[in-house]
Amino acid sequence: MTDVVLDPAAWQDVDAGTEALLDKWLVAPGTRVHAGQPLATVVLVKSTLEVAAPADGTLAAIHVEAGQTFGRGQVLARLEPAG
Amino acid sequence: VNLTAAAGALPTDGDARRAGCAGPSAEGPDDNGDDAAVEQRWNEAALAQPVERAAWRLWTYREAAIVLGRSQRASLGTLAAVSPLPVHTRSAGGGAVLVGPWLIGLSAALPTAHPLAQGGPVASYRWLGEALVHALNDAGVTAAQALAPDAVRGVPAEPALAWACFGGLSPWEAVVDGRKITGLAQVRRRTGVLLVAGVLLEVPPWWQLCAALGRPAHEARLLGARTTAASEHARGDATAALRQALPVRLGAALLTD
Repeated sequence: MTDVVLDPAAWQDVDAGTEALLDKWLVAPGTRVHAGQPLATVVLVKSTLEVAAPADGTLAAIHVEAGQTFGRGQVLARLEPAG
Repeated sequence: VNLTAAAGALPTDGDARRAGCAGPSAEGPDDNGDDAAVEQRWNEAALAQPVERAAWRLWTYREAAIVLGRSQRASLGTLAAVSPLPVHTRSAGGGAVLVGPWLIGLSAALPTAHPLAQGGPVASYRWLGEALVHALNDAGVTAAQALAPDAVRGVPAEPALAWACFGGLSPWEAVVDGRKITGLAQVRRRTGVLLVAGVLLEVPPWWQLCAALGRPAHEARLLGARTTAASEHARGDATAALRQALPVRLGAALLTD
């Protein structure tokens, strides 16, 4: 399984206690995705950001639902690697 | 449709290399004077395809309208449906903004590889926030300053105003004597980075925003106490001065990096 997280660069200079909002999932569990494909949109410090697939695979499970908040490094979903 | 006139945009739109280039087309159906609709369409068009070069545009608004942050569309959308004012939702995050003749808006689209798009959202806010402060200073608002993250941390938040863009402070937004005068937000996609900003030229009718969104009247007073406008600090015509200064400062920021 491969963890799906928000790019750590997005958290640069953001206060330690700040959380992001999972705005919307763009794909459903069971969907095949390719590396770099936007999987979700999140909002952090008034910025709308895409969460990209880290690898080719299938979205196996969502760990943070739309409307929930999450912290730095938190796993948002897991991918079943392709092949 | 004369896009410039329809958008209420200033004749100073530009890109980093050639003044007068308006970037993506905002052309669409008759907007009936709703300049905010044209602005949002321009913003969407800006990131619909990969951004090849930096482009920016300033916006003025003939009529009042409300622009909600992306994550507000569910919570405020129902109220907005019965609002007497036009209501739009922007792609960027943040709180509700009351646009109108009292505000000047800005959109800046950058390629993902652009130096000013590197380092994450807060870094991108920095250069824009500082460019806006330079423009405010040029326009005679000499006490304007952009707040670094550490400084923002020291400003007590007002939870009751979390729904309003100008009710809170984020890194590199500008204040004058502790009162907010600029608001920032952005969108980062594979296709590019879009930064948006608003600068208060005159004191907005905050009651209009609160009334439209079903917020209590005292929150309008709170908004008034926590914000200020260029006209309260500059001598002479602050609006005209900012219209001159903003293109110079934005162009300089984009050209030097």
